[in-house]
Parts: sequence; C-alpha cells; structure tokens
Amino acid sequence: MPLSDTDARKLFDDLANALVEARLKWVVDQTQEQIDFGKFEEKSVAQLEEIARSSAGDVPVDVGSYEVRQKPGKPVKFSTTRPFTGTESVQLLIDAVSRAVEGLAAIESTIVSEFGELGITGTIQFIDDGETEPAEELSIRDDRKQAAVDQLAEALSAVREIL
Amino acid sequence: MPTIQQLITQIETALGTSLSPSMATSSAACDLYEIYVLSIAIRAAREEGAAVRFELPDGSAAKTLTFRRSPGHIWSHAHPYSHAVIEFPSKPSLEAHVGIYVSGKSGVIHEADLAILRRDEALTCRNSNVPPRQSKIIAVVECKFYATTLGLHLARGFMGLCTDLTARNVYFVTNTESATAERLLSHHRRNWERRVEPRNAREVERLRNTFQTAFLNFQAMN
Repeated sequence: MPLSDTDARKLFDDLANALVEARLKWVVDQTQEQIDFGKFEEKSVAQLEEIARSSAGDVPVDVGSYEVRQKPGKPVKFSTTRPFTGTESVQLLIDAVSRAVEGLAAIESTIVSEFGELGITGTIQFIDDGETEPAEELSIRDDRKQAAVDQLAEALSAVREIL
Repeated sequence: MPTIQQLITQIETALGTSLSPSMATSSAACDLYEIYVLSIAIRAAREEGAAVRFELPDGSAAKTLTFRRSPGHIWSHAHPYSHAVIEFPSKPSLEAHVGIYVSGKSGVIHEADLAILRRDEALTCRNSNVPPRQSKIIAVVECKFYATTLGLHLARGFMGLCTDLTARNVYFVTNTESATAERLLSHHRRNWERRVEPRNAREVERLRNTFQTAFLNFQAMN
C-alpha cells in the first residue's frame, strides 16, 4: 500500500536528517529549494473578460467585485506550479542523493580511468590561488567505497518501491 | 521486506563509507564535474585523431594534475595548474583549460568552466598576462552539476554569456535536467546537453559527438 502523505513527509524528514548528518546538507538544500518553487505544470484555463456593468444581462462569473464572463473560444495554456506531494518530495530527495553519491562516484572512476590512459598516475587535486593545501584530492576509489555506493543504491531503490 | 527505519539505517551506514571529499559540498561536486566534461572533450579529440597530453604552465609534462576550485587567469603561477594540449596532425595545436577567464566580444571578462583555445593564443596570454580572446576559442562549456532540477536562472545566465561569445561555440552541459531551461535554450537555438554522467551512455555519446564535430570543423578551417 502506498505511503500516506503524512508518512511520506516523515520519511522525507528522516532521510533529510540522515543526509545532513552525512555532510550532504547541500543535497537537502537543493531539494528543498526545488520543493519551495513547486512542481512545474501546464494548465488549460478558460479566459475571462471584463464586461461593462451596463451589459450585465449575461450570467457573470463570480470573481469578487469584478463583473466578468467567460471569453468565447478554446481554453488557453498557462505555465504554473503546484505544491509537491509528500511522496513526490521523497522521490526528489532520493533522486538527488543518487545523483550526488552514485553519480559523482561514477564520475570519479571515469576521470581516473580516462586520465590514466594519458599517463596521469599521480593524484588529481583542486586548489585555489590563495590556498596552500589542496581542498580535495582524487585518487582511485577503493572497493570498500564502491561496495558502500552499491549498498546505498540498493537501499534507495527499496525506498522507491515503498512510495 | 525491510521497514522504513531499517532502510534509513542502511542508507546512513552506506553514506558513512561511500562519501568522498568531492561530494561534501556543492562547489566541490561542480569542480569534479568540470573535469569530467574535460575528459569527454579529450576523448572526443582522441577519437578524431588527436594526440593529447597534460602539461604545466612552464611546458613540462604533468603527472599529477592540479585544477582550480574557482576561476582564475590563464597566466596564474600561484600553483602548477594543469591544462591539456591537443594536437591534430598538421593543424595548429589547442589547449583545454578548466576554470579560466576569457574575454568576450565587448571586452568584458567572463568565466569559462571549460575553454578549448588555440595554443598560440594561450602562449601569448601566459606571456603577456592577458585573458584569451573569444575569437581564438574553439569551445566554451558551461558545466552545471546539480542534485536536483536546474533553476531557470542558470539557463538565463548562459544566454547572456552566448551574446558576448561566439554562440555556436558555447555549450551548456549538465548532469541533471530541467523542462523550463531546456525549453528556453532550445527556443533560442543554443547548444545544450542534459543528463551527462557515466550512467547515461546515450547522453555522454551525444556530447562526445558534439565535441567531435567542433574538432572536425576546427580541422577543416585550419
């Protein structure tokens, strides 16, 4: 049975807390930003037109103090957003973790392999002009890390099945 | 079937072991992604028959690669930043740099996540402490690594970059996707590619082919 919206939102919070603990707050932040923006969708809408009070013999559409009626013709498409459901929010967070961890792990392996073919046998490091020590270093990922990435993928897949 | 709590525990355990420094911040992930896109460009050049090697600013061969974490000038000697040298037979040599400033048509200086330019221009710039001119650049790539859908503002920013560089040589590449950003870029006929990461072979191949076409055109015109 699919999760209720309340359960899905609790799952989102639990998962988000685990990610923050694991130093992946940026993944949670990006996901939350997307959730705050809302889900993009197109909506067909009947256009309205304002009518003069003198011609109010037509049946007016009630939109507060204005007197309007539905404009003849086909509905038109508007781009809009709607709130994400709890389940959709969890789905977004799972996809985000997958991109950040599984995606970057695959990228690291590819870089090491591709540059290895060009004779790069040492480390790959990142440093800024003003720094004295590299902020990050990249070397061949060990089997233990890859096993953990695979385990993560498996767990994320199981969560997807619950939704 | 495991409970939700068991799955959360499994995720926590896996995260504890699987993370590397490049996953710790958004900017570190972006740094790594730029290098990944460079690797695709290099692969494309090799597929087109180029010899590729890594070099340090003084011209010596690089065994350890050093890249910038934020944009800098091509002539910087703060650290031995590496670049790739791309040589097609009987053609002018090229260099590929990550995170350098380049000069647009207006003379305004822009950041280029990845820039592939003529080597003679790069040598001139390193010698005279000036940024490369857009007319000497074969390709500029804007690389965006995001965990979620891209914000539209990123595509809008890219549109601005295209107006001051030669638009046909400028590419927007991301690991993720965005219906609105893609619609905007397509509508304005910009070069873009989405979902580029090793798990998506089709998209990676399409980007590599795009770079191969850019190298093919360079060879035809030089």
